[in-house]
Amino acid sequence: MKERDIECASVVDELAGLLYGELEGEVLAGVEEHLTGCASCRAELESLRGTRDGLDLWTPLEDEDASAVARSILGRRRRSGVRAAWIGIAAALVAFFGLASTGAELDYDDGRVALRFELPWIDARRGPLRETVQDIARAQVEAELASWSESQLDRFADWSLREEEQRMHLALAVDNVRRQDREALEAYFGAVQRGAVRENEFTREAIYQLASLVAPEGEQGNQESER
Amino acid sequence: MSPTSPDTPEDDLVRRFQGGDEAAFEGVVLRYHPRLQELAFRLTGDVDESREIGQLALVRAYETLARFRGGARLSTWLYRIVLNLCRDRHRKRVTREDRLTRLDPQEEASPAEIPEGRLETHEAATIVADAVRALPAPEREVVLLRHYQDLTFAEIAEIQGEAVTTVKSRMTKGLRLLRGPLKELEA
Repeated sequence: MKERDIECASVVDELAGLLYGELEGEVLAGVEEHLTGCASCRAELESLRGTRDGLDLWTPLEDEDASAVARSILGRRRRSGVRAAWIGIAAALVAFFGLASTGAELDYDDGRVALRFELPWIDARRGPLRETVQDIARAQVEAELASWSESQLDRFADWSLREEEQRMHLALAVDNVRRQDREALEAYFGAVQRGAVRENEFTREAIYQLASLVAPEGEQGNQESER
Repeated sequence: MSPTSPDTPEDDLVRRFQGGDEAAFEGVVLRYHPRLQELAFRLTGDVDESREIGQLALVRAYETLARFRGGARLSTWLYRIVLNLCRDRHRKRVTREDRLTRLDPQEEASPAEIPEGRLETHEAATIVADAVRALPAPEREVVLLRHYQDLTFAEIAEIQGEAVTTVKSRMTKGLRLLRGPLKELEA
């Protein structure tokens, strides 16, 4: 490839930055100098600029009252009477313990709302603990769902399976910490990390935070000092 | 400085909320809910869905913010939640048969109902919206976050978990893909 072509390729890579005002210093100077002498790159820049300007024809949505949204969220959390994080975990626990080793199903409201997912690599042998947790979790989930509107229930039926998988990982991690099953905990954390993609950074962070919440007192002190 | 002031630093809001100041969370909502809902709306085209996604992202933030350790910026985290939710809904949407949708107000009205003089604006907005939503997901997200949310390429790179150069390339590719559909709008 000719040197000129290499230079053009480098400049084209910077055109997006130039269009949105993010170039500065030597890079900006170099790109501007190249454009002065290169009709092809100037034409490309103008074409991209025209397209960029066309995007402004799509005008924004009118804002909802954000204060009302804040009050709704804060009020809802206070009224629930149960820590919000545990509701999601309870739902996951119910869903998980309600199945065989490869599938999960929780039906609510005559089957209109169902959580379904599969974790073939998890071995669901929990013994007597299983039914107790299932009963408690089911009651919590039902209390939460009872406060939802019709449209929310309709949408809940379509919620992502991946989201529920993540919640399940959290639930199992918590369960293992409580039982001081450190080996299993490490395995779960490792499995989540191996399976997690960049989009799941939120989940990893939540897992560590949750684990620090339920760890024995001595370990909590150590975890606090690590922050 | 009041937590609801737009000048309050993001870190300050998080710290105050973690210290028990619920007004700080209101500050988070006031600052981010409009942006989150708009992003969700531009991705989904559904007003009700975008409202729910925006609220859901903030509910999740409320549930876990008490122990947010600041490994990522709060705004990055919130945007990432919204993008994940929208991706998941999109995957579900393509297979749904009984879709209940309140469409983008700009697309909803038939041409006969639109006042004369506004028809061109309505049609142009629809063309742009359709073209952007038709982009491949990575390019669509970059275009929306850079052009409509005014995030920097570095911030977008953090959200997408990619290098800045990759994000810029996606922007360029996105604009090139939009060139054809938007060409008819050029005066």
